[in-house]
Amino acid sequence: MSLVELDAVDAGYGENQVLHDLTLSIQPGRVNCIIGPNGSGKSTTLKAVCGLVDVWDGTIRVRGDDVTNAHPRDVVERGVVMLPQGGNVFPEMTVKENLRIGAFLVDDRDVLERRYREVYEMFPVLEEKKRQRAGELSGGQQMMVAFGRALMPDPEILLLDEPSAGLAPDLVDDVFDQVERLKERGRDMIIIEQNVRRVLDVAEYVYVLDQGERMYEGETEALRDEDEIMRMYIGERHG
Amino acid sequence: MTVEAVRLAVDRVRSRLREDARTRNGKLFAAITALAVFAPVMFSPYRLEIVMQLLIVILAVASWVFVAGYFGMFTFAHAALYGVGGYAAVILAAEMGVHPLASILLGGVVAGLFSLPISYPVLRLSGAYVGMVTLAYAEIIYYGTIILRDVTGGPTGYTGFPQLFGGDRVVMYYFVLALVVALMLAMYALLVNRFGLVARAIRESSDAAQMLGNNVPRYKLTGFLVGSSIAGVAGALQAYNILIISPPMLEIDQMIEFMAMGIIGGLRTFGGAVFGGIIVFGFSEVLRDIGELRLVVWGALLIVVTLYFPDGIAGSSFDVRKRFQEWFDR
Amino acid sequence: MVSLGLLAQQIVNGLFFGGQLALIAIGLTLIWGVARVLNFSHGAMFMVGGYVGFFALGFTGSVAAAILASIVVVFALGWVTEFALLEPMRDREEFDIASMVVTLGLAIFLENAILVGVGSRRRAFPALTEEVWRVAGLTISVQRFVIFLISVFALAALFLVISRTKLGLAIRAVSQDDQTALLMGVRPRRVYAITLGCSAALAGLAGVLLAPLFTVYPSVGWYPFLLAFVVVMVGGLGSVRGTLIAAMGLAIVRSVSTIWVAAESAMVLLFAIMIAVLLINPDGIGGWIDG
Repeated sequence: MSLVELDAVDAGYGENQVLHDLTLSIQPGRVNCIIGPNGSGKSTTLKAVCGLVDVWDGTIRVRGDDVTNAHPRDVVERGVVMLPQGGNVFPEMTVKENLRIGAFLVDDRDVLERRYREVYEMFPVLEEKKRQRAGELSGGQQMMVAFGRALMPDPEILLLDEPSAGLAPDLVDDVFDQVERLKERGRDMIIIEQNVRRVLDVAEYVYVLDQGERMYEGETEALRDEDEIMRMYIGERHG
Repeated sequence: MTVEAVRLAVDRVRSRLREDARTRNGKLFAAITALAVFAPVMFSPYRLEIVMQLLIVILAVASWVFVAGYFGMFTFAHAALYGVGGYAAVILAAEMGVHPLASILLGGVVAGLFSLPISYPVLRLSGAYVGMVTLAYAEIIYYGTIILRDVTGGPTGYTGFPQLFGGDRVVMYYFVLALVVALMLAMYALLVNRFGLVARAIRESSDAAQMLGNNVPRYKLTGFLVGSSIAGVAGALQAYNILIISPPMLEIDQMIEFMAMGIIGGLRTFGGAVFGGIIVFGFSEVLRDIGELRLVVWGALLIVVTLYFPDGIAGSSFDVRKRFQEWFDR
Repeated sequence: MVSLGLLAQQIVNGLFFGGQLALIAIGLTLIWGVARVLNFSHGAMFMVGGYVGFFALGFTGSVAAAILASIVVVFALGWVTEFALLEPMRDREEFDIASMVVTLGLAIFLENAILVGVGSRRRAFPALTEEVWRVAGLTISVQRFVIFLISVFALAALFLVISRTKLGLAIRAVSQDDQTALLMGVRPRRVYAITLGCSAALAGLAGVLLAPLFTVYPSVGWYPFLLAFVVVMVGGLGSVRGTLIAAMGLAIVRSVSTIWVAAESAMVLLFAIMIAVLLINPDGIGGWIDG
């Protein structure tokens, strides 16, 4: 069964349709990425899955459950967690409170403790700074808080919305290091990126979107042989 | 400003007037004005006084819409400045022997002067903060009229000042009508010209208006000053009309009344003040018998209009079929 | 010359008054901080709390029942206000002004509905106790002291909820970034409704607690609202700590200044302080201590 499935989805904002009859089927056990030019609907796709954008037509399923236009909470409950663009940590909360709210739907103390340990093990600096306000941390540390917060509910699949957007070059390296580490630990992901070269190094499966339609999907390796797609969407300018 | 520019502006007003006269609101206004002209023949002296009050209230509300609706400066100080105009006019006439007609003008000037101290924060702050700071200022003026009892007569108010036109109500009525229409036209003329365009630009985005090369603070200050002065003139007229001025005239309740009229009438359309004034004020006169229940109706009306007709009555379409359609399209 | 005794007495009075003020003001600052609503019906909620308490007391004869009834009913009123009046406008660009106008409409509606329903007569609320303590030359009304204690207790409970519970976590998250909170599985709409309910309940509690001092009548809420409004502005809208400091400070200023000037002049002083603070720093005291 697909982990996340979009079936003939139309979606958009107000009068403005962004996704046109989009069908995607995300299989478990791999790192996926969605690439495409600006305004191709990459971000809208993630938001539609999470219940942040109105779906006009079509169906979205998570492990077979219909979550079309569901409340974001119902999507989180099914193990689909999004890390918003820019991270958006809660600046006035402590690091630990940020992690706690990441696992907002978890109430079991033992489970919570285990999750804290896992996150602290991956990002030891967060344990040192757990009582500090997140807004006081450096950009790189805030990004770790955002990653840790997204991992707290132990998601089945993590949706990353342009994780490297607007970051300084050394932070971009940090982000892709973290993504690499998550991949090693077997975390499923859907990554949306402008930085196509970098994301293709990590992703195992690629979807190419243009103007809200799916232009291509396939293994990353296979994509390299698709001259037409490579030329149109990956472009020489990146290489 | 050259003669040529003035001529252009006048032409613009004339052509806009011609356009607007053909709209639903324009036709209604023409009918209302015609009705107002014949009011002294049609109504009893008591009724005439009510109509006069209504005209003055419309002017006050229009001057608030001018500031709050067009510039987006949501001021709560308007009723207080309206009261200041009233106090200034009658005190000048009674104590300093200023001619009543001149005192009305001076009432406007004094109200304008009183708007200056608060204009600095109003220009600096935005959104709800403008409301807050002006509310505080209005309260200061209100308490001031009570505290300075030697000047204002204290809580019971100020009476015994000379009457306009020796108490001839019909002459006074036409004077009020003419002044109200003239000042409304003056605001209209400002709004249909470049001034109004910049005002709306400032409401939408102050930064963008500034970047387009407009001196935003100067426009806002002018707008605030003009609106407040006109409120002062309205207050002066009202004091001469009801022959007393007292603190309740500039209490927050009065402000809320003006606001309710402006909002129910429509903040985005200058004529909204006319509709709002007639509906709310007229309504409360007609419903005087049911007493306080009318205020319940007002409160509810204010809620319903804000929720479902954000552009007020003047700015909304009452094409039932169309509204139904919108309902289903949602 | 003012005697030291009078000064000390006015400071003590001011302190007690500050507790009452804080109880009213804290709800006002809370919903601005969380939901960006300047609630003009806060005074009306206070008034409704007074009436519910009055009738509940008449019905049951128990002060505790009266307090409980006020809290419950006014909480529900706040909840309904959010869902029926504020929620539908939340996406509007000028939400801060629209919400101001709608709550103003609600205040007029509630005040006059009560006026029509039960009349304008002032209802005397029996004093809890007439007892007075004399300590070191100061006169301390036991009733005011008890009211002060209950206020402190209610505010402490609010702080505990906000800083220690999961609900408090959700409230803080929504106040900082409701879109991101949504992604964590928080339901902002429900959080807004609960916050509005809690804020209203605090006003209701204040309404019934202060009923023995103010009596109960339809427009009883305006004066406390205006005072709370000044406190909240000076304290910094949305800042709970700033509001507490401002409540105490302004109450003492008002209380002490009445040694020399009339109550009206004291009000002018408070409003002037408010304008000055807004001019220097629109975030008020909270802008200095929270930042």
